[in-house]
This record gives sequence, structure tokens and C-alpha cells, in this order.
Amino acid sequence: MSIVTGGLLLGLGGTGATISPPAEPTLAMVDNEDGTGTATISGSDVGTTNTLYSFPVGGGVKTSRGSRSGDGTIDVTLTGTYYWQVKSADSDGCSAWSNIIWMKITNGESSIYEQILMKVQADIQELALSGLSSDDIIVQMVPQQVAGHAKPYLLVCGFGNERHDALGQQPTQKDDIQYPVLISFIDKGNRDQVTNLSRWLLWRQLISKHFRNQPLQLNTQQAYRVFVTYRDITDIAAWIRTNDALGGIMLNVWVRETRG
Amino acid sequence: MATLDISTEYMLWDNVESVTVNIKSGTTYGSNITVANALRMDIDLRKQVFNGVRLESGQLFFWLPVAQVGSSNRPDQDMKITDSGGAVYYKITAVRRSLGNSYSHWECLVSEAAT
Repeated sequence: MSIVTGGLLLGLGGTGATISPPAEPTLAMVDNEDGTGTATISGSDVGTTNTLYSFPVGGGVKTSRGSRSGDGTIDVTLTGTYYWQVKSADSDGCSAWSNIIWMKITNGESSIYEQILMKVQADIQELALSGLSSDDIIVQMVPQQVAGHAKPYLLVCGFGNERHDALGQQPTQKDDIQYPVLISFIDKGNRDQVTNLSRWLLWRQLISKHFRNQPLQLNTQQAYRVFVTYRDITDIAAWIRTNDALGGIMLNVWVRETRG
Repeated sequence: MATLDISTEYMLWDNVESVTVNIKSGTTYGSNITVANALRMDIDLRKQVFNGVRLESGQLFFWLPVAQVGSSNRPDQDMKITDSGGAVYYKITAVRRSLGNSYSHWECLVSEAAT
């Protein structure tokens, strides 16, 4: 018998049989804004079993969230922010993993601003910055020290106020809202000029590079562009007064919103 | 006129403790000095805002006798105090209490190490 797997011919004698893993499916996710979501699977082979998986932002074990035969939809009820993927399987084996979707299933009360904060948090967690765990990327109402949380950590907060160009020259500019997001870096300073310098500057560079002039895919729409502006690399007053290293980057997230 | 000597005033202090002072100035830069008669004052859990971010750190005064710190040593920038429990403090400001040419002690405002 000859078995062909992914172009590999195994000569075992006997009659020929071809093993062909299923095609890689494509996944789309929709937040129904009522505590449920809908996963839509397409591009899979007829008769395959498609299993939907979720995994936590920042990594972790993939958990099955339902399955179906062939293309179609799967309803999900897991609330919170997760990544989603699907994989097809039949008697010949498993397909490659589908595309990855980031989505937070909401109850319909998730503002665009909150979606932005959660997405920024998720993206930074995915950067897997050296010295920072997933739990160290924290969304807050206002940027302030987190009692009991060992430094370093990053705070993601709304900051200041939204901006709106009511007199925009282009008709659609009138509907553009700019959401400012402050990313604050907080680390132990303790007057040590050397130990954490490298990672301190690298975090700043990698986060800036990730967001600069990029769109940001939210649950309900896409923020079309992120402009990065910079705050202090290391605040000297905090360095002296509280022995903290404190730095910041501001993301200015532009969203074109619908009227009414 | 009589000249008062206040350099041994620290011997009258109650509730003193021994601390290690890491000096960051002069010829003794980086060396550790044991100050046996340090006096710890009230702690202030101060909240401050820097660049829009609120941080908190305990601030307090340590009184350090000049006679034990050494008359040629100054608690300059980044001076570190470690108490007997291992808690670390860094200097913010320091004032030397003197009467003429007689030096009593340094009043060092310090902040707790970040954790």
C-alpha cells in the first residue's frame, strides 16, 4: 500500500491510498451584543467536523467551544475577550488552524472606547514583552498605581478627552472621533540606572511600532488609524520621589462613526 | 560668649535604631556606614501625580547623627538607607541641623523603595 501524506509517498506495498487532510477553514465571528456571539465557518470540506476553539488573550490552552459538520454557524456564549480559531477534521486527519479572530462577546453595552482599551490591552499582551506577563497589562479607569501588584506593569487608560473635528473639510471627517489612550509603563526604579534600561526602551519601541499608523480592529467596526505621540521616556520626578520608573506613550485612535 | 556643642545631642534621643547608610558622595562613594543612633520619624503615605499617573510611596524622615555619618560624608543623591528589617529607602532631600560650627544631625527625607 502506498500512502500519500502532504506530498510524501510511503511505500508500504499493496494497493494505493491517498490521505489528504481537510482544507483549512475560514472563521468569522460576530458579537451579537446580547451576551452571545456567532461563529461562521466557511471554506471547509463537505463532511468534515469543524471544531471551534477559544483561547485566552496572552496565550493558554485552547478549549473546544462547539462543533458542526461542514460550513455553517456555531453559537457561542463565552463572554469576555478571547481569540478564536477553528480546525476541520475527518478520517484523513486534521486541517491547519484557521485564521485567528480576536473578539470580546458583550452584552451590547460595550462602548467604542472600551473596545479600544480592550483591543490595545490584547495587542500588547500578544507582543509577549520580555519581563511582562499577560496579567501585567492592566486596563484602568484612571492611571494609578495598582496596590499589591508587583512592578513592572503597564496601564492602559483613557486619558483627557475625545477630539472631534466638527469643521472637517471632507464630509466624512465630520464623523471622525479621536480617542486618546495612555499607555503608562511603571517599573521599579530604585535609583538603578542600568539593570532595566534595555527592556525599558525595548517595550517602548515595540509597542510604538505595533500601533503606529495601523488600523485597529474592534468588535463592531474598525478604527481606521492609530497615531502615536510620545510622553516622557522616564519621568525624573517620579524617579526621585517614589523610586519608580514611569514612562508613557499616547495612542490617538481615530474612528469614523455613524450619525444619529 | 560661650559656644554650644550640639554634636552629641543624639545621645539623648530615645527609640533609636541601627541602620546601614550607603554613601554616594566623596571619597567614600558606594561604601556602607553603620549609623547606630538613627531616629525614624512619622511616615507619610503620599500620593503624587507624575505625567498624569498617580503613584504612591511612603515618605519619612530619618535623623542621622553627623558624628556617625562622618563629618566629611554628605547624604548626596541616591543615598540609600537600609533598616535592620531589610527595608530600603532612598534620599529625596537632606538638611544638616547645625548651631554655628557645631553639627548635630542630618534630617533626611527619604522614600520607600519601589516594589
